[in-house]
Amino acid sequence: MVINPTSGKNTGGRIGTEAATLLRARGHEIVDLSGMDADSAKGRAREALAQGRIDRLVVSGGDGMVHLGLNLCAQTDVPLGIIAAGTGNDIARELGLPVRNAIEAVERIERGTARRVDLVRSVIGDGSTIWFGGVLAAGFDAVVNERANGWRWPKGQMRYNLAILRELPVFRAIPYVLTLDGERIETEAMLVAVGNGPAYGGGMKVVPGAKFDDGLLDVLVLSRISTPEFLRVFPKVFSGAHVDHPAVTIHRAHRVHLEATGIVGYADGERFAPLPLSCEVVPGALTVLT
Amino acid sequence: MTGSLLRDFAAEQGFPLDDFQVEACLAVEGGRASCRERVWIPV
Repeated sequence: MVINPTSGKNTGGRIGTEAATLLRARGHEIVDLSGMDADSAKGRAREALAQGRIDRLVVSGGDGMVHLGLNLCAQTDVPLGIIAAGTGNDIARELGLPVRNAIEAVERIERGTARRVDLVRSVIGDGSTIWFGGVLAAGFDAVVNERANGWRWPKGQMRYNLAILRELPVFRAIPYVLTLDGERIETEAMLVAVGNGPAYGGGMKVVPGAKFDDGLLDVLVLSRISTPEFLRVFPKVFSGAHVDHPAVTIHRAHRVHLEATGIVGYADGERFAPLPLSCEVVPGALTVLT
Repeated sequence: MTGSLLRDFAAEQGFPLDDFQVEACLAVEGGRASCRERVWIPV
């Protein structure tokens, strides 16, 4: 089990510890793989998996912890259990898992169904393979994330709100080359998102039709529009109503290649990789306890 | 978190905030406005 104590505005540690206590009380042996930071936790979990010391991996936290867990369990026989204890919890919510409820989450881990879901695989510049499960953002949202990540202050949501204020006045449509299953598209866009799941950012349904088990990626492109129009469209992402806007196109593909200058992609809310990057859906690559 | 801290930080970063923007940021932070409204902050 890996617990992120700072998730959910520092309440994730309590929920994770409660879940661990419940699991122990029910006779399960828990190996605490939490580390000083995500990298050390990942290293410890990888070692435990390689040594066959664990028969399932349980992560407690937000989408970042799910991202860590799915990168460890991808294409293995070890199922991933999720104690959703973050602020967004988009992947857990879309999988129908309980959110911020240790008792119900433990029930799912003990008695839930082992469900096969798709993951998205990307081989990055250094030759390593990384995965994501939800949405890869590569437009204005990624620019805001990158700006916010560059600041050490303030913490939490405020950092992102300020980053929006910093970036929005100067943001202009980004030139992209997208290659979707071999079809090349040149465009200038405000948002480009690749979805295995439908939502990011705490319930923003950016690709509302994306499904975890359809073997396809939904690729959203919001083409160049004015800043005032962007301000009108972007809030509709929360409900998914933005897809009706004439500047929005949603493609479906198995393999996606994204090219743009100076953009770093963010997936599952985590810094993923700079563009250009290629990714492909791998059907049934993860077993998750639901 | 205070408005003056936000103003100072933003000014250092090269994007001065007006009173409404500061108030809106603090309202979201304090739970008095939804994050869904954050993109409506005038810029």
